[in-house]
This record gives sequence, C-alpha cells and structure tokens, in this order.
Amino acid sequence: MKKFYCFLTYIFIIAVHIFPLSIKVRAFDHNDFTRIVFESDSRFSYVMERGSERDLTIFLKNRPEDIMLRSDLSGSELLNRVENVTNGDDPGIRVKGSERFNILKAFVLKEPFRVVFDVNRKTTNMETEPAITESAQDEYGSDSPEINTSKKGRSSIDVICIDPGHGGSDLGAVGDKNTKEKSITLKVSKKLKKIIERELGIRVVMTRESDVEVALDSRVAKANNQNSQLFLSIHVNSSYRKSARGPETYFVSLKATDKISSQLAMKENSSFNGMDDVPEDDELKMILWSMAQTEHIRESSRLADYIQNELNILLNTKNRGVKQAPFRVLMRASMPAVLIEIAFVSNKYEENRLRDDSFLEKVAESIYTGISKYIYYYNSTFK
Amino acid sequence: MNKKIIYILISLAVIFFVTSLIIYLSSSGTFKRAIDDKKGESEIIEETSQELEKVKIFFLTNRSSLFLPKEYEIEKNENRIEFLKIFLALMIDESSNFVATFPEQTRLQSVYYIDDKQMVVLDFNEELIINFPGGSRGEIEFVYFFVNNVCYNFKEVKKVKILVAGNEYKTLSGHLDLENPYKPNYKYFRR
Repeated sequence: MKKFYCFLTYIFIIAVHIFPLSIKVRAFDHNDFTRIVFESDSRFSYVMERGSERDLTIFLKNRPEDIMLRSDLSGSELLNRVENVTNGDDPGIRVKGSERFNILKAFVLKEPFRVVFDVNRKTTNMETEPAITESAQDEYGSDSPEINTSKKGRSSIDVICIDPGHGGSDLGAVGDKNTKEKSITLKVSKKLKKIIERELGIRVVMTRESDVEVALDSRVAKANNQNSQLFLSIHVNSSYRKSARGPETYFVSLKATDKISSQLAMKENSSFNGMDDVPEDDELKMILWSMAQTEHIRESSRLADYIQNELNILLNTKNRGVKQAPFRVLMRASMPAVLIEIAFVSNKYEENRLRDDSFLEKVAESIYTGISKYIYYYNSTFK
Repeated sequence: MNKKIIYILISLAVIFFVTSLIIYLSSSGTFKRAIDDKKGESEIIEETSQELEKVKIFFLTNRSSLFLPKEYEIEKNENRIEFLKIFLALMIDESSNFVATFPEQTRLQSVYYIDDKQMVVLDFNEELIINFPGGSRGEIEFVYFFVNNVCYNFKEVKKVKILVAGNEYKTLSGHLDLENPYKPNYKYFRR
C-alpha cells in the first residue's frame, strides 16, 4: 500500500511538470482605461503585488505547476511586456507598462476563469510611502486575492473634484417651500471651488457646472480620469422624520453590501422565480470589489471627520461623528472620497437656512476649512 | 282480569318504554353527547391553528433618530415564506402609525427567498422610486427598515436585496447602491 501511495505521488509530480498551468495574458485599451486579463482553464488563487508603478505582478498560491504563458498585448499602448517571475515557490506573472499606471479595479470572472484588472495612466509625481496590504473580500473564500499595493508615493494635492449632487431632471430632495437640492448643491459647489482655487491654488474639477443631469458612474469616472486627489460629493439631506436635522458627512462602507454574493446570486439563481429576466452581462458575473476606494478608506474617514467637525461648528450641532454607507457615487473613486449632506431640506428650520445665500457661503467656507486641515495633515504626513 | 287484556297492557307498556327511551336518547342522551364530542374536536383544531408567534418590529419615530421596537403576535405558520409575507404586510400596514420610510403608494409586489444564499429579495412597485422624496438619510432609513427588521426576526435570512418593479436599480434616488444585497446594520436600531 505504501508503495502505491509513493507511486501516486510520483505520478503527480511528473504530471504537474508535464501539464503546466496555461495562462493567457491579454491587454487592450478602452477610451479611459486599459483592461488586463489573466485567463486560465483552471481556477487559481493569487496575490497581487506592485513592485513599481510601471508593473503589476500576480503570484499564484498553492500551484506547484509551471506556468505556460501566452500573451497578447497588441491591443494596448500602455502595456508592453509580460514575463514569468517567482517568489519563493510561488510562480508569478509580471505585466510591465511603458508608463506608470493606477489600478482602478480588479475582479474575477468565471467560465473561463479570468482575473481582470482595469488600469489607467498615472500623470502626477509620486513620492515614497510605506506599503499598504489589504485583503479583498470575495465569494471565493480561500482564493481571495490579496493585494499588496506597494505604492511608491503620493503627490501633493493639486486636483480636487467637486460633485454637485443631482441636476437636470433629477431634482434631488425638494423642501416644502420648493427648495431644490440640485440648485443648492450647485451653488455651494461653485462657492467652494472659488474659495479652494483662491486660497489654496489647487485646480478644481466639477462634475457639472450647470443644471444638467450627469450619471452617477460618470461623475466618479471624471474624478478618476482627471487624476483628482480628493472627491467631494455635495448633497442636501431629507427624511420623512421632519425633526431630523444637522450636517452628515459620509465615506463609503464596502462591508455594508455583499457585492460579490449579490453578483453571484443573481447569476447562479437566475432560474429562481422572478429572477429570470435579470440581464446577465459581464458586470453581473463579476466579483467586484472596489479596490480603488478600499485603498483610501482610512483617508476618506479622516477627510470626512475634518469636514464634519467644521460643519458642526457652523451649524452648532452635536458631533455625531462621520458615518459609513455604501454610496454608489463613492464606491469606484480611486482617491479619498466623501459625501457631504449639508442640512435637511425636509426640516422647516434648515430649509429656511438653505434658502439664504450667506448661509451657503458659510457652508462652503466650513467645507473649505475641513479640506485645508486635511491637506495640512496630508502634507505633514506624506511629504 | 281477562288474560287477553293483561297481554295488551304489557304490550302497551313495552311500546311506551321503548318509545320513551328513544325520545330520551335522541333529545339529550348519548346522541347529543356524541355530537358535542365532535364539536369539541373542531374547537380544539381551531385553537391549535391560532397559535401565535411573537415578532419585534422596529419603527422610525419623531422621538429618536434610531428605530424603536414594538412587539406583535402573528398567527404561526409553518411555511416560513408565507409567514415572512404576513410579517412584511404587517410592517407596511403598521408604518402608518409611525414615521414612514417609504411613499404612501408603495406596495410590495413579490417576496422571494433564495435558500442557498440565505437571501430575501423584496420587489416593490414603481411608485416607490417615482415618489421617493430623496436624501441619503431617507434612503438609509428605507433600506435598513426592511433589511434590519427582516434579518432580526428571521434568523435564517442573512441579507436582503431590493428590486423595484422587478428590476435592479443602481440607487433609489441617487445615493445608496441598490445593485447589491444588504446585510443588517443594527446601529440604526435601539435594541
């Protein structure tokens, strides 16, 4: 019997060398990002590492096989080389770029098994920063990708994106006196832009500058594409509870939703009553986790904290702390991102204040003070 | 006395006795008790089906920013999906006595339970999205009113997904992501 097990082990060792794991790497440019796909017939778990801002490496875990690598980078100008690497016993694949690039998001697709990274060119100067290790949460459990994001540094803040909530036919919340959220958010955003540019000399990008409708995903895409280092979504709050009042500043919570389970449930249970009509495009098959925002949650929390404190002082409200929720507009932001609810338009007292232009000016100044405190902290910590 | 007369009298007495016995039994005797026994059985069956189960629903009030609990008793139902539907109907009906978290015209169209994902799918009518007043706080209150109450009372449910008119929406009014199911977050409940 012992001999039989030895024989099986021998066959296994021979097999893994005779039949290497085949992985094909493809890359192709889209309008505003480049997609890198690692495709294999066999599912594998991996750790992603970045040795520099010009490369991206995945190391396969618990796979003794050799990797048979094929690549096709003809569709990409950003990426120009793929090579086999090793980390101890773990085989890996490194993709190299002709320029520095950011990772916007990463996800896994099934049938065939694919690990996908969306990246875009980086244009700002970066300095050294300690490595951050994050664990992505996904449905694959032990196969969860681990991210070792060794960013080489951060630039000083030179672009801020302000997102005036709602707009066009999307009025947002409306008060009893017909005060429209979309108008208030635009007014405050314009005032804030003016103060930041005047006082800090930082370029401010707006997701809208007039009363137009902008899709949520386009808003954050604009911030990402403009390489903004901060993203501020300005809103006015509302609740059926008329007594609700006070400012609230949020940063994203990725724990609150179960994105991966949802995507898979939608796909895997599509035969379930009432679910047959759910479209099955690639987006729904994805295991999605917003690495972009995961990477910045701590800083988003700090930025939210600075802004909330200033608004509390202005509105003379108790400090109820910053809050977390899975806001759609923040989820894919690849920079510290917060959503600011200035006041409740559903509250009679606060609606009156929101109609007063001098109050909106003070709100903008308070948000500016919060931002400038964050920038001071940022510069003293990271520069 | 003539023997013939004696036989006639005895016969009449027997007939009278038998007739009396029949009348007695049919009016208040064994037959009635038998009927009463059957009634008794049906009453017992009814009492069994009216066994009640306690649930705790957390509502929004003007007294607090947190949802406050109220206990109810619902007729027990071994079919948990049916029980969930009754529970949700109660939640929606009773909301009119508290601060609502959804527009008045909102109706729950369908309720599904996906067993292997331990996930409930709630499908609301379009009026929810058409008439929703907006605001991050409003969306949070709506989402967690349903997610938390369902998960709190149905331990087998781990997450809740919200659809509108059978469709998946990105958000309700531009804030919270609705493409994904929600796990409960009891920080909004005063337990």
